[in-house]
Amino acid sequence: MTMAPERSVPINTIEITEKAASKVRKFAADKGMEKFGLKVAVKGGGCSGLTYTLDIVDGPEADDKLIIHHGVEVYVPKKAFVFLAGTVLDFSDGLNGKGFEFSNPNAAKTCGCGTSFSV
Amino acid sequence: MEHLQTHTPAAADKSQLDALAYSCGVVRWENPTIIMHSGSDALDLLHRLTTKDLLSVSAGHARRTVLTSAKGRVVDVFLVAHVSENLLLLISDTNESERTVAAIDYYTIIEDAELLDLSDSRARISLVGPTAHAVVEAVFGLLLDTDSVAETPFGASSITIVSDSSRGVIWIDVICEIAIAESVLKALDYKDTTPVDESHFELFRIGNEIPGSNREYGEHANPIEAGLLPLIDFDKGCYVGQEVIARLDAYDKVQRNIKVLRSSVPLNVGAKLVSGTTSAGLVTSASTLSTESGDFLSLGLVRKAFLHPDTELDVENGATAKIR
Repeated sequence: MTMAPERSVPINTIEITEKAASKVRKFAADKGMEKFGLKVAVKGGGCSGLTYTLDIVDGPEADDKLIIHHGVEVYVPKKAFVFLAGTVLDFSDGLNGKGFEFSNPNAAKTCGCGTSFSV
Repeated sequence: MEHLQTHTPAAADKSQLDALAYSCGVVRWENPTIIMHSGSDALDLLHRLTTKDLLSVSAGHARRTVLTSAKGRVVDVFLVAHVSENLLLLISDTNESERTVAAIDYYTIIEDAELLDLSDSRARISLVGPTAHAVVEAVFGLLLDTDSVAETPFGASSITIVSDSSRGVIWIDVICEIAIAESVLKALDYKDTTPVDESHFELFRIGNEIPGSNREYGEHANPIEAGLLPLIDFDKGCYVGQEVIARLDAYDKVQRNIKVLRSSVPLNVGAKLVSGTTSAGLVTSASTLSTESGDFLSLGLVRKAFLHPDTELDVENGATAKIR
């Protein structure tokens, strides 16, 4: 299993790596979107109780926190931010790659597939 | 679990048990748990949190499901009644509604979903027995399908009627405002119905191996050992506790099952079952009413090695119990 890089990120933000940013740009281009951002959120559910969600959207909503990394806008709903503060979002590809990977310092436990966590 | 034994042993009233078995028993719950769950994400949220596939439960239908912890232990079991678009009624046998509300609320983050605990303002009356559907039709003029929910006017108010096939018996819940509960009960005083008290309903539940809240299931048990296997959809995808429960099932790791126990004296809830010096399980529910044959029935979480019918087990208080 490929692990997301160990990095120290200030707890008042989240960070996406250059590789993840590049993938976001590619997915947005594939969808023909010129104005876009990555919406990162957390919803209830999944084996460990809390599940990450990722969406490419055309802009932030009123209650979203805006973060910009490597030229990509990241929108995080304020209610979800408490679960994501300090997180690094990376992308791993190749045969063993898992796609987008979260390295979340708030996660006490993660499920086998890595899409859900508990705090 | 505490050792509970609060009633003096007595013979069961056959008419109450016969009503539940052959016609229709009417049971009023003392401390019902009734929660309104509303919002466009409410059903999807419960689908992601619990063991049953709920996305296919369209408005007008109902399905019972299990909320488990991340460790795969039972938090609560409730009937999800999809009353109308974006409006659910959750009906549970627990008398700790605040615990269920808190558990669902914990996982409500960005969802459009709101919980409102109606337990203090609503009454729950269960109609149990093979003629329950006919009673609903005669009294309320409703032809209710299996696993469905309908609202109908009652005087100046309205009542919600939900059918539930998940317990292996015909079971219909009538939910109404507390203020009109007596009127509803009066209307249900129909030729084919018999009021059933708590102790007789408990004996019926035990005899039919129906798992009870904070008895067979709760934080001390996983849903498979507690007899809730039919309430788990193994192909629905992730929900809280899914990895643990799937592993228990796939690797046959479940160590206990619920079983009906027969004894010549009432057993104590919480009493340990032993075979020689080996622990064989735990008494989880016990009736103080003797059956027609003079036996007392209990339910126990019994270890796998002792599940065979007629296996004799010693009980902590000096009694002997036989697996039915």
